[in-house]
Amino acid sequence: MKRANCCILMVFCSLFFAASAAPARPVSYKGGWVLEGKFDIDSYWGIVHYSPESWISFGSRTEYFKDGWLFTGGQVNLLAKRWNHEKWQANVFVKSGVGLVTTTDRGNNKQDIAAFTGFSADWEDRRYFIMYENNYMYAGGIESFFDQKVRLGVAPYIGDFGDIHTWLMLDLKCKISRGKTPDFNIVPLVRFFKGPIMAEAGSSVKGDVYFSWTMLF
Amino acid sequence: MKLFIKLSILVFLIAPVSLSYADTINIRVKGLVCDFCARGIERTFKRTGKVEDLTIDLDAGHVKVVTKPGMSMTDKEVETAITDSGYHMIEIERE
Repeated sequence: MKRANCCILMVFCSLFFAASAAPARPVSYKGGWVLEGKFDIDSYWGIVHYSPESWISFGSRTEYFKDGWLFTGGQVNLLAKRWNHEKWQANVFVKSGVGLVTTTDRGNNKQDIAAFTGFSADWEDRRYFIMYENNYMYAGGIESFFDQKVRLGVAPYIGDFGDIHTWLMLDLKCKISRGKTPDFNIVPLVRFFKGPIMAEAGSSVKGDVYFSWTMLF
Repeated sequence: MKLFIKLSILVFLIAPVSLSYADTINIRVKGLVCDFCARGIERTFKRTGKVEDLTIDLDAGHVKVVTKPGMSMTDKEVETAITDSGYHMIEIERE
């Protein structure tokens, strides 16, 4: 089997594995596992992570970028700060990882060390949600980019514990890749969750489909 | 012999009562705004093996825990479970 086929197979296996999964937060409760799969507008990825404490998690991440390269590696997420208020909660997370990046173009296979880091900050109450997130990915001589996202959300109704919860959300994204002009995108999406399962679906204004799912266990 | 019989009867009368005793613990929690994230509280308490029933009121920021018959949780155990779930406990009341 050619390397490109192996890479694609790994991605699909990872996504299938994560298909029963996907996260809102990169750090879960103590002893908690999170599975996440995402068909994002410029990549497909799967993550599994475990939180030995409620402030840190370790995970494995596989991400296939539509540009034709694959990242596989480990990830560490830190809950740098949490504000628990009676009516709202706010968080700052730091997410970093290292791994290998492989191009999947036929006849042009390259492999290099890759690393990424970034942070996110969010605030939410039962009605509104706002988040800023960034990520810098260095993938050796293959690719590097700086990604930023602002997410705004509103719950059209306030559900009780155990109900199906719905959020209407809007992602404003900007990706600056090496040697390219900044790419702006807007992704309206709907988030549903019930119990330990969450799913999000949307489409960018450019027509790219977005879908993700997360499971806690 | 009569004393032994009386004691036995007393034990038979008291034991079921003490064995069926369950704690009902009301906990006020800060940061309880999201059902999905609050699943951590449910999982953490149930993992102790002491919890029969648990209900969460997101609006009130309130968690109600009913322990299994004959089991109880100390205040420290309750606070640890809340902290391990990523939340902050305000107070505990017992029914």
